[in-house]
Amino acid sequence: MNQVTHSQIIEFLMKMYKNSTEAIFFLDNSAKILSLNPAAERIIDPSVIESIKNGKAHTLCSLCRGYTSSEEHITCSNCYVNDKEGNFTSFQVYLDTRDKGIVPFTATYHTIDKENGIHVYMLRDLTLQYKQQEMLYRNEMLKKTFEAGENERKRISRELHDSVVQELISMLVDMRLLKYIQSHEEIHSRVKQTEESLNRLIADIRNLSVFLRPASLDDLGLEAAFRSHFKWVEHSYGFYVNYQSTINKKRYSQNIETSVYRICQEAVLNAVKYAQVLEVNVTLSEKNGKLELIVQDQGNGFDTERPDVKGSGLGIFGMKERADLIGGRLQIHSEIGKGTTVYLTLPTTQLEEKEVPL
Amino acid sequence: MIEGKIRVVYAFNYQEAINELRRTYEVDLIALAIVMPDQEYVLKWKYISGNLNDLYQRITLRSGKGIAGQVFKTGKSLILENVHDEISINELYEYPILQFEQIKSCVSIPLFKHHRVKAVLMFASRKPNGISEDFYQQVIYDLGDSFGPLFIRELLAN
Repeated sequence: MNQVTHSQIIEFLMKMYKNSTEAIFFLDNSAKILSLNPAAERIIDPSVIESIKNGKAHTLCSLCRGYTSSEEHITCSNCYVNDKEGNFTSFQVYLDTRDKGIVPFTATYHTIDKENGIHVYMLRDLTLQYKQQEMLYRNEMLKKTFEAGENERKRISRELHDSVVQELISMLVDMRLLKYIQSHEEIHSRVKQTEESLNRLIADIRNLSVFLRPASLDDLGLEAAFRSHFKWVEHSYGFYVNYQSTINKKRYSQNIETSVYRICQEAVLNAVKYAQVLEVNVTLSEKNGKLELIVQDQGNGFDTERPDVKGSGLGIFGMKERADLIGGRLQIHSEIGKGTTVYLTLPTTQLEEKEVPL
Repeated sequence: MIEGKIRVVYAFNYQEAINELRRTYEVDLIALAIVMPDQEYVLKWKYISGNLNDLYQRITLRSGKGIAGQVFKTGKSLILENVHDEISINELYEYPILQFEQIKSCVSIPLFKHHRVKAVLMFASRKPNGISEDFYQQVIYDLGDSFGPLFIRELLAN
């Protein structure tokens, strides 16, 4: 490698300062901006640049909106400018920018001249990276959604083939045999058996249909649909749902009813699957123009920051998506050993106008 | 009157029968699920021996659901030598009897009448591999053709 002279390094550094896509600020001990490079100028408000150029003192604080610490998402406590001990080689900071509002950046902050108290502060725009991450997450979730849809179809197809078709074939065979039976008594007994099979088949098809979409939801509303669903949960899984509702027989728009029903169904099923308890409380009420659904169990709970994903990971994502679509807000509070609460709230005003077909 | 008395004498006592089976085979639990034709053809665990609690009474299974529902639907015995290997932890909730009674190993046998499954007899252990294929063969051999008024094999004459 060629020996690089001191003056060349200075030249390189100057070029880097001028041409880098990273915003570079030189600050003094009180976070006053001493100098900033063109990349930095591009992100901050022109009036600020103007006043700096006119020799007015401007601190970084007028642009900075806080950073992400281990305790908080956006905070000013233990600010990197004042904290001499903290490690600020790489952290996330929020800055008020020229035309994009408050935007997250990856920042580094370190002292380059201790004697004179000069610090360098560099920023890298994270928006693109965030967007890519979000896209990746979305695609991943979309893939899982398709997969889940396909599995559901497979399940229904199997159910139709295994129970409905099989039962019908066996009845057909019974019917054919009837022709050859002489004894009146025998015919009577066979017909009775076939009748029994038909009844069972009707029950099977009815169950399949209710599972796909409960007719009671369309005909009678949330209240009735919940009651019959919870009865089913109780019978099938031996799991009690303590259901309390103050909405009576009130009806809401179809997409609200469907979404609330599905969100609740998912939340209750999660409790059945993972909470390791035998009951869950469900409360449905309407207060001050807001519909409120609470699903609460006293079970295992989980770490909401780092959930140990046991299923497809789609459940909670789907619940949030559904809540978003109807203008609702879904919150999940959970702590290991302290149970889980799913809290859904949505405005019920302008329901009538916002009838969007699903 | 006389007819009634005769019926009492000949009525098969399922509870005593499964108590006896549990003593004979020294298993942790034996349960018998019966098809309830008047309630939309569901199965309920009606007789049980060696249970830890009464939670089983909550369970009502439809065709294809749970242990009894699957045996009912297929008409075939279901052997789970080690529940943990064969049922994922995420699907265990669909088999409440296994959860409620902490069953780790079991075999469930369909019992027929008029070529239809009328009941499901389950032998269960709370230890993994407590019940094996050999155990199942032995039980089938010992029981012979019938269990009370019900048949072990589908195509035997009714």
